[in-house]
Amino acid sequence: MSNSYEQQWQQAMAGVSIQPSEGLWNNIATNLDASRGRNAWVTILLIAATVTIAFAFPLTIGNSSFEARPDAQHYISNLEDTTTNSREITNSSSQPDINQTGVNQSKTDLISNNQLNITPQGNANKVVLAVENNATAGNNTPLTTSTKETNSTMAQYHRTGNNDEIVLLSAEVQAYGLDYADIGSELAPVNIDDYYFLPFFVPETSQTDRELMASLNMGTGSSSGGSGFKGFGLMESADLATGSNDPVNTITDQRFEQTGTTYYFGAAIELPLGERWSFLAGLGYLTQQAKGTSNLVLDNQGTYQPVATYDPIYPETNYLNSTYPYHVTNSYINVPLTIKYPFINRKIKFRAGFGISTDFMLSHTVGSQEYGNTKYTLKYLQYSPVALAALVNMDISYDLNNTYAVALEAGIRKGITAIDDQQEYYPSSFTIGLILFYKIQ
Amino acid sequence: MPVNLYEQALIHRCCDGDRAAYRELYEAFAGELLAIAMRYMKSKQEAEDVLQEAFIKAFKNLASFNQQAALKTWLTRIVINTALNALRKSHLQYETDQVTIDMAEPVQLPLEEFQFMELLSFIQQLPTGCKTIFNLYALEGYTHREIAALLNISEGTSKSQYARAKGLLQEIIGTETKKVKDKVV
Repeated sequence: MSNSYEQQWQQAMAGVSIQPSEGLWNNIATNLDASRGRNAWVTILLIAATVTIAFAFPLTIGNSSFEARPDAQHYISNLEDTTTNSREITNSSSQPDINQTGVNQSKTDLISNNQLNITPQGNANKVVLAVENNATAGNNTPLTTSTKETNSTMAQYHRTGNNDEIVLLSAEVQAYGLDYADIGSELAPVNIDDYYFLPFFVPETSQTDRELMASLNMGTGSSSGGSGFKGFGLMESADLATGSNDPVNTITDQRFEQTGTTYYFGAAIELPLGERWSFLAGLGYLTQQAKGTSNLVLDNQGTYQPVATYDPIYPETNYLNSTYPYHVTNSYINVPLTIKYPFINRKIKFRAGFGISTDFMLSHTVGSQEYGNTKYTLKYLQYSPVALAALVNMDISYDLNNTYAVALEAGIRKGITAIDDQQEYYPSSFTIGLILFYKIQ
Repeated sequence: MPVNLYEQALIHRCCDGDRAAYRELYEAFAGELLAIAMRYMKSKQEAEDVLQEAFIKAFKNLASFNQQAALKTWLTRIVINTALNALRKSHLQYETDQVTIDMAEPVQLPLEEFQFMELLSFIQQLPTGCKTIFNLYALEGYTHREIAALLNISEGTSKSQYARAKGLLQEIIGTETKKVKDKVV
């Protein structure tokens, strides 16, 4: 290769130095600081979000459960022991003012004193109880106002002058012990004397709707990257032998990645939020596999390998135009948080949801049939171990009975935070899966 | 040649995030690397842009540097590849015209009569395509086959462009030599 002509030039040009401009180092240092600072902030924010969610989640369960169903089961079981179909309302003792003492306390007192003689009928979802109250009879101050119970009752009590009025807010409300209360009316004013109106929930017809639920899920689908080196850029360039962050590789257009496969399984807890919305928090395992081709390299030992599996990189490596197939597998632990809303809410439900998932990458393996697998560590790759993905999904569920339900779910997952300075993201996925729901309470 | 103990320690300090070590590494190699970058680029400004990008890449990937080779070799490779990428982005085309390849005996060049900066200016006067190939073949020691793979051109194009570069340099050096002699006379 070399002859005296080339040697003359090499000797003439060897070891020469040119002083760079004063500002060059400052530019480099500023760039390094910026990227380091950005990575640090993203990591700190992700950790903070995860920790916040982790600590807030148990509190949310407790609060939601209490607010949605104040000792309802206990209340119902006691009520079933009372006189069947009685419309009598006893007033043997004075009733506590629920505006002053709180709903739960008054309910407990009422039950223990056998002052309620009520049996829920039919499939009514909600019942309004009326309790005569001698203690405050004649007191024109409303005993119960809409402000206290509006969120948990289907009826409201008003006092207008000397007249009491019940406004039934829904045809589903069944009122017992109320004179002239007309079930099914949108508005049913009745004349009554000093009643308490207590919210009372009977179990919903649909067990999967407003209950605390646990679920298991699993599914499969496709994975694909975005344009350029986004998305599947991770799959083909997470090894430092390829990709735009590779200082050695010069032929970046010799790789081709195909749509890959995604598998996942996990578990989740679902909490009711208000009348229809639900919140799901889960823990899952996700793996994304893809195949591709990359150019071959010829290293300084004279060995050919696909660049994707080539590690470490020797300085004298040459990158060739020939290509060779390889495969990539990423695996993650993920913590999805999703909000769901039912558009159809009967025995068969149709729900749509959206949310975010915090993904913790476990491994990144690149391999080929002939050259074996190379497992890369995140530290080696200089990738952030944590990233966020946006989730959008829909499910169709069917209640098997009062305890179990099954659902078919379709979802899309797309990375929203980059994992490195090259703005690479985890690959996107489209999946279809099965969910088994179990009613906890 | 593997890295020496000084370089090992420097790399280790850089990987630990020692800002002073980054600066030290920069100071140690920036001058020579800039001289290399200038062979590929048209101006010092362009060469400094390449050098900046190359150092950033190197610092970010220092942890993956295989220490079986000298640090300078690795850095040089990064600078060259960064320069080639920059040229590629500028849609550099390599002419495929067939030039008669000069297989004559090597010529004894009067290179010692010129300063480095003068030689550099001679190279920089070459058209970008054949200048790149001249640098890779004559100065970096690549084979035409390797250059063809690297630049995604045919081996014949690499050879013809190199021959063209040699011819042009010969002309430039001849002219400059004559000027020097005329001055002396």
